[in-house]
Amino acid sequence: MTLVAFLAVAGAGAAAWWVAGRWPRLRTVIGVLALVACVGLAAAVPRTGLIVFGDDALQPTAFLRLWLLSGSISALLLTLLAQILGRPARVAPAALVMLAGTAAALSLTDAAGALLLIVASATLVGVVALSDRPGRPGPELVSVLRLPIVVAVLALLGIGWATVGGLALQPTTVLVAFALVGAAFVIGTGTVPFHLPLARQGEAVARPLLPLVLGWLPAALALILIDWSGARLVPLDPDLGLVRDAFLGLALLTVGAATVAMLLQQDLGHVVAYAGLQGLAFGLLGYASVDPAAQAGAREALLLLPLWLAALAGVLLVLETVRGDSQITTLTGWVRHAPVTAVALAVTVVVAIGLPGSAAFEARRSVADLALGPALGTLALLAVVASVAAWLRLAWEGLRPTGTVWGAAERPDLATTGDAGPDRVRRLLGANRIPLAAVLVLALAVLPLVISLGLGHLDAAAAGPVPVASVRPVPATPSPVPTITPLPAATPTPTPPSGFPPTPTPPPGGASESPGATETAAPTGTPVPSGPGPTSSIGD
Amino acid sequence: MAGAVLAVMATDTRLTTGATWAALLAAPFVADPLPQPLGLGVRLVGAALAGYLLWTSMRQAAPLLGPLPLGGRGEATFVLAAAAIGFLADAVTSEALGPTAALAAGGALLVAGLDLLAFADDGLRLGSGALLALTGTSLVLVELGGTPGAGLEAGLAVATAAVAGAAAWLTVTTLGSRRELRLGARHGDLRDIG
Repeated sequence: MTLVAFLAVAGAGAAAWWVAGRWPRLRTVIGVLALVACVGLAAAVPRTGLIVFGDDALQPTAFLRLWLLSGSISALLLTLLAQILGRPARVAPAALVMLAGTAAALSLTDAAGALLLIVASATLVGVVALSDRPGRPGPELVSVLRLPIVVAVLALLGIGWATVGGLALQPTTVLVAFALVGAAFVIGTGTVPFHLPLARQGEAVARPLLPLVLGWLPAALALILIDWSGARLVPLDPDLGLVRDAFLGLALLTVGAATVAMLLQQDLGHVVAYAGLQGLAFGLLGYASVDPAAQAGAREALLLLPLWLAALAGVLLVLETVRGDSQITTLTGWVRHAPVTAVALAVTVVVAIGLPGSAAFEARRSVADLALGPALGTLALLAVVASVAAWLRLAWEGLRPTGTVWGAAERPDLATTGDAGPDRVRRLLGANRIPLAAVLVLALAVLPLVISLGLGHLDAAAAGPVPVASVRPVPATPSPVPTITPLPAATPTPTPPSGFPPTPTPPPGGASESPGATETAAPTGTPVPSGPGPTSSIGD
Repeated sequence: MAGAVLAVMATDTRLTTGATWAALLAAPFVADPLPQPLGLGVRLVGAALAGYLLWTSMRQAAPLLGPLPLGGRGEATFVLAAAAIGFLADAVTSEALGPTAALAAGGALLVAGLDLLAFADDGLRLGSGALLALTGTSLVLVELGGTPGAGLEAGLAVATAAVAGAAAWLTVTTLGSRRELRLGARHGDLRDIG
């Protein structure tokens, strides 16, 4: 039930933050405490088990645990960073909503329900992120409603279409379902040329919220759709022809276009945003490949993406706070004056692009090779490696000598303020907020690095079981006679969610041999063994 | 279906809200057999909350809305046509698992929702369109896959409430800054989903 506690704390924390609207300091305390509690609870989330919810279930996995733990830590660091830099920008409530939504979605055994939870999270995060935006409502406010709904309608129709015909799907049915869900994937993850809606939202939100809008939420959407593809389409080994090639082409185009955009953009915020879109394109490669190994690689890349994007957003925040501007040409000399931030940027770029042998690089390499083949896969990787030039340009600008005093406005004269006590401590902290922020950014950068180097066993977690794999199969013609004899009513057993893998072949006659077995006949006529690990239930 | 037709024809904020609310509350019952009590209950709570949020957000708004691009009746014709196509498609399909009304009602709600989402110029109708589109899609899922499970019902309930909350916030924000429901932006269309 730790997962339920996590959901409750994250949801209640976001609600409490909203209720405490008149007391900004109380809001800050609530947000930070809720995120600290989320870190603790995420560490305690089990790697197996089932929480039965009606005829579905929440199924914790090692991947979910790593996602929640790394996400909670990163969100906490980002919140503290924004707070220290005086730009809280509602990071804590948005992060709590994101954590609750993705925790429920990535553990739910129903793909359509999981997708809707991501849609709900994206909508709420959009509201939280844009609700303190001054001025007239613009198109970005409308996109908070339009973008998630269009994505949801396309993906739900595709998921529903894939149930027509039951287990024996026709090739045309598979193709239509693959195309519909792929279209949702393309729009929801900002693939070129459909990147404008997502980019517009990223442009509209405050900088600290960039990793949520362009990182965690689209990555979670991508994970749900990849998991659905792995559970529903991969076993069929379908021939997807031109549709598959079209999606692969769009992904390759996005990787290349993002590199070009990163090299041409003068605004560091835009460079960070395009780096995020480039990372999401590897998710599309994983989806379109319909290959289990490529999809495992895509899951690894998608877990790491929001973490390094948060670190890049941290670097952006620090530089913007000091210079008041994010134009690269105005950041002359920043490396000389902010060496810790420079180290953080270097570490982040290493994770984002990847050193050969690290999980991040190998994940991208396997996705690109398996989806595109050796030649085009190498081209995609070269495009990613080429994007390092954008970061070298930033570093080069930072290494040049500057005539002006860097960050002078950040250093009040403490010698002239003779008072002591809490006020002096507060002023000291204020005067040193940039070094403190740089340390937090370094921590944000180190988190994906250590995961990429093997902490948490990301590769094993990504290749492990996924809850959506237990999506309920629907037979073409419902059989009135179940193939498994239900247990006698005298031995009541909780009705487990249907269709958890692996489904054993029943012996002739249908009776279960072991008295301890909990197989029951599902309404659809499909045998349903109980899931792995301990089972608890909600309602029913 | 009546809710979908009324939602695209109405120029009264209360009628638009009421029609949307009615469609949200009725949709979970278009399944045979009905969903499990847990899923049904969660879904109804989500629908009730969504209607309440829409209702409270538009209380301070002027009661009248401008017509849609085709005047309302044109849009209603498309909605009714979608319902008719849904009935016909259900009749000729042997694979469907849901009741006959599911595809017809789903098609009607989906067309009405996408129409409002694409062409409306105010937060209330945009929200109404988003909710109708989600609900219509859920009915198409009922037709294709049978009675939804508790997980899908819970997802629908949470998404419905979240979308209604976003629409309410958009309405309140627009009222606060412009003193009217219109967003003032150019008309969107399906090429500009953002």
